[in-house]
Order: sequence, then structure tokens, then C-alpha cells
Amino acid sequence: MTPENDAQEPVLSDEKTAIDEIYKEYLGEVSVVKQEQKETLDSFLEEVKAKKIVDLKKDISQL
Amino acid sequence: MEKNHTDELQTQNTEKNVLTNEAVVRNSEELQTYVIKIENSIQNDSERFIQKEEEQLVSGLKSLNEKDETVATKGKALIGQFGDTIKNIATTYQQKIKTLFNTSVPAVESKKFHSGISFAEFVAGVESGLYKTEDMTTDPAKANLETEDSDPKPKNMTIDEQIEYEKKQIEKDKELLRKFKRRHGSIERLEQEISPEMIKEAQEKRLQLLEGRGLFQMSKEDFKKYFGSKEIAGTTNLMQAPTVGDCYLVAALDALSGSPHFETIVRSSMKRLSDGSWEVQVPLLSEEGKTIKIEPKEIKSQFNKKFMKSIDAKGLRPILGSLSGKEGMKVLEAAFIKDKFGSVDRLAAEGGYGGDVLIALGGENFLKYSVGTSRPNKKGTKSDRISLNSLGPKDMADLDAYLEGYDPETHIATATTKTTTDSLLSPIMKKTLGMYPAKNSLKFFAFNHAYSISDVDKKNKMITMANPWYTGIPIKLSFDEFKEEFGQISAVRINNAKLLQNMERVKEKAEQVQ
Repeated sequence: MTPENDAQEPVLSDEKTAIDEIYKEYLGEVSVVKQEQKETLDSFLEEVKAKKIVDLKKDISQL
Repeated sequence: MEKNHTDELQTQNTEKNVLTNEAVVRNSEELQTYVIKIENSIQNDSERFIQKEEEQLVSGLKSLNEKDETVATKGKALIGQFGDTIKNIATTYQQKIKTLFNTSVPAVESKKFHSGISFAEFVAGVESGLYKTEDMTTDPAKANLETEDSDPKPKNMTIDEQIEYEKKQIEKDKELLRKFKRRHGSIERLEQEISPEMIKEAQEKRLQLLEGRGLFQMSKEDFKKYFGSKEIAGTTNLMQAPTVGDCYLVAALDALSGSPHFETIVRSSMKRLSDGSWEVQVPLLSEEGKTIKIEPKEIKSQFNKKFMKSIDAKGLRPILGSLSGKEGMKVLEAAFIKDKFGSVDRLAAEGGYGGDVLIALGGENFLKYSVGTSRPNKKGTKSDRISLNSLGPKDMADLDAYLEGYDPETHIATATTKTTTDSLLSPIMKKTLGMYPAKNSLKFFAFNHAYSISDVDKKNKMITMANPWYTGIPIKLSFDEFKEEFGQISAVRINNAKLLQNMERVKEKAEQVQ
């Protein structure tokens, strides 16, 4: 290893690791929100579906 | 000896310092690239999330066949908060990175066209006559570049004179190469596929350029207010009035509004007055254009004068509605009808082709393109529009070339479905549902109905379309599905040079009137 690499390489690697840590932290926090969003959307669509079934039954009963 | 040793050490130190400095610079650049990469990942991730969020909602509602807009709005409000949360998290972490490295990441360098020339340079080049279509060639030998004849090489030159002479020749060659590259660049710009970011950049640059020349009569804010913005989901959606059969008109307006030229065209040719009325230049941007005035009442629903006076379908509807959407789009709908029929007579405007609307609105700025099918119906009294798959080899090759060459910069298109299918149930489906099932998928299409084309993915051979009944839900079809279910394309090609030229003329005319 040449002297200049010896002096610089670890610093760069440390800094990259620090960025990676922040990015991992970001992904962790975001995954929680994504999960919440998915659950909210699923439950909303379930509601819409349930309402449609009720409406359909009403229509059928009027036939 | 001692002195020599010291000199050697000094030299070694200097070399070492140079090498170390180079390494610092290299590493610092590498680190900065890495910081930019991570920041961009965070940015892209949050943007993708928001886009995906809405797509999930739309596809969920679609799978339940739920078309009620209030339900969609409620769902959007429910999940929309997650988009904001993600955005906030992204900002916080981007800030963290900035704070940690105490560095402000430089803005990503503005993208240029593949050729390396910017859009502004390209426009300036076109206007100055530098890029003449007929003059374009990729062969430098045939490029017909205006070059000065080389100076005859003087005889009996000294060595210094010879070096000077060669230097001058090299400079001339470089100049020749530069000229060629600029021309070749413009060809690449025309030939290569333009990415969406590139289109956006070009559009913004063009708008800045034209804004600077004072060619607009409507501000950017007003444009967003009265026409919506693609950046704000849902604001550009249109819905055809259920009581009026002008699907071709709504489809054409939807396709037009998706063009990267739409803002330029509208802001140059439409004006909202203080009393709420509008002045619309029809054809838009044309030198010979008429000014059509649209009053606020003309974009509202109207009473059907033929109600109970006509025994056919025309007499059954008491009210004739306008399209649902932003005010500016309603004005365009009314302006087309008023220009064609003398008044905003929605009944008279029923039935037609999208391409005709675009030609009427765009005038000489647009060139018409149409390909379609036709065969006599069983009784021999009328023509039926059938699948595009039944086109002859020449028309089919033409259609393939059109789809393969589709570019939003130059094309605006609508397509119309079949009037009948080969199914025995076709007449019954037409009378009861008004719709037919797709041959090879679970999709349904309305008979004899115009749809807008918003995008063509040439790589994956997919077309994105929208039904004017509600344009907010994209319909994706493969080329094969499209050819099976549709019977006609009614479209236009934009004449860009004319568009720019007409803008100048409109300005000159406006100045003369003043």
C-alpha cells in the first residue's frame, strides 16, 4: 500500500460507514411508515368492499 | 554529498505531497459522489413512495370496480398523510448527512440533450437557421459546412514558420469539427428517445425563453389555477358529462393537455378577463385565428332545447352538461363547439373524431394523422369499425411505425373502439351494457367510444390510455391488445417550427393592435 493510500483510505471508509448508518436508520424509520400506510389502505379497501356488498344485497332484495 | 541527499529528500517529499494532495482531492470527490448518491436515493425513495401510494389506492379501487370519486378522495386523504410523513423523514435524514459532513451538496448538474447542446441552444439554432432539416447529415464529408479554403502552403518556410502554419491548420480543423458536432448533435437530439426528465427540462427552458420574450398573456400561476398541474395529482383529471356524447372532444382535450407543449400553447392563446369571461384564439396560436369569447354561463350545464320535442335520444335529456374538470378545460371545450357551430350547442357537437378537434384547435401547427378500419355492416346500410388487426399490410406497417415512433414531443393522439365485435352477443351487449369484454384480458371497452392516448412505452410495447368518462385511471394495453380492441387512431403530429414561428407572429399582431 502506498503512503498516500495508507493515510487517506481509512478516513474515506469511516465516512462512508457513517453515511451508510444514517441511510440504514432512514430505511428503518421509513419501513414503519410504509407498513402503517399499507395497513390503512388495506382496511380502507376492506370498508369499501363491505359497503359495496351491502349495497349489492340491497339491490338484490329490491328485485 | 550531504547536499545531494537533502535535495533528494526534498524531491521525495514534494512528490509525496503532490501524491497525497491528489489522493485527498480524489477521495474528497469520491466521498462527495457517495453523499450525492445516498441523498438522491433518499429523495427518489420518498418520491416513489408517494407515487406508489396513489397507484395502490387507484388499483385497489379499480379491482373493486369502485368509481365513486368521493370514495377515491376520502382514500387519498386517508393515505396522503403517510406521503407527507415520508417526505419529512427524508428531509430530516438529508439534513443529517449535510450536517455530518458540513457540506452543501452541489445541485446535480443540469442535464443536457444527448448531443451536449441545451434546449435553448437548440431553439436558438433552429431560429438562426443553423439546423436546417434538409442540411442534416451524419457524414462530415457530406455535411456541406461552410469552410474557408485552406491557405496555400507557402514554400521555403523556416521551421518556426512551419510550426506556426501547422498550428493554424489545427485550429481550423477544430473549428470545422465543432461546427459539424453542433449539426450532428441536433440530429441526435431529433433521433434519440427523449426521457421524461429531458422533456420536462426542455419544457421549462422553452417556457423561460418565451417568458423572457413576453409572449404569454397568461401567468404561470393562472395556468396552474385554471388548468391544474400534473405535479398535483388529480388536478388535471376530466370527466365527460354523462348526458352528452362528446367523448371524442373530451378525449382530444385530455390528450392535448398531456402534451409538453400544452402550457406554451394555452398561455399564448387564452386569456381570462376580470369579469370571469375568456378570450380564446382559435386556432390556438394561428396568425389567422379568430378570438372566441366565452362567457361564464357558457361553460355551465344548459337546458336541452329539444327536450320532449324530438322522439329520438336527443329529446330524452332535459339537461346537457359540460365536462367536469378545471375551468380552463371547460372553456376549451366550449370554444371548440362555439367555433364550429356558432354557439355552445352541446347537442350539435355530439359525435366526431379527436383528430378533427385537434386540427380545429391547433390549426397549421398540427398535421393530421389517421388510420382506421371499416367494413359494411350486415344490412349493408352503414359501415362498421372493426379491429385494427384487420388492417391491410401497408396500413399495418404504417400503424406499427406510428406506435414505434410515438414521441410525446411531437404526437397527440386519440383512438376509437370498435362499433361491433365478432361475438354473437355483440348486438345484445351493445344495447344493454354498451360495453364489450376484451378478447384476451378481463378489461371492458365501450362501443364506438374515443379514448385518449397519454403515453407509449416503445421498449415494452405498451400504450397508456384514458377513458373520457374519468381520465384519472390509466388503462395500460399491450400493442397487440390495443390493435385488437381499437378500430381507429385519430391524431396529430406537431409542427414545432411552425409553433415557434406562430408565437412570434401572434406577438407582432398583438403589438400592432395596441
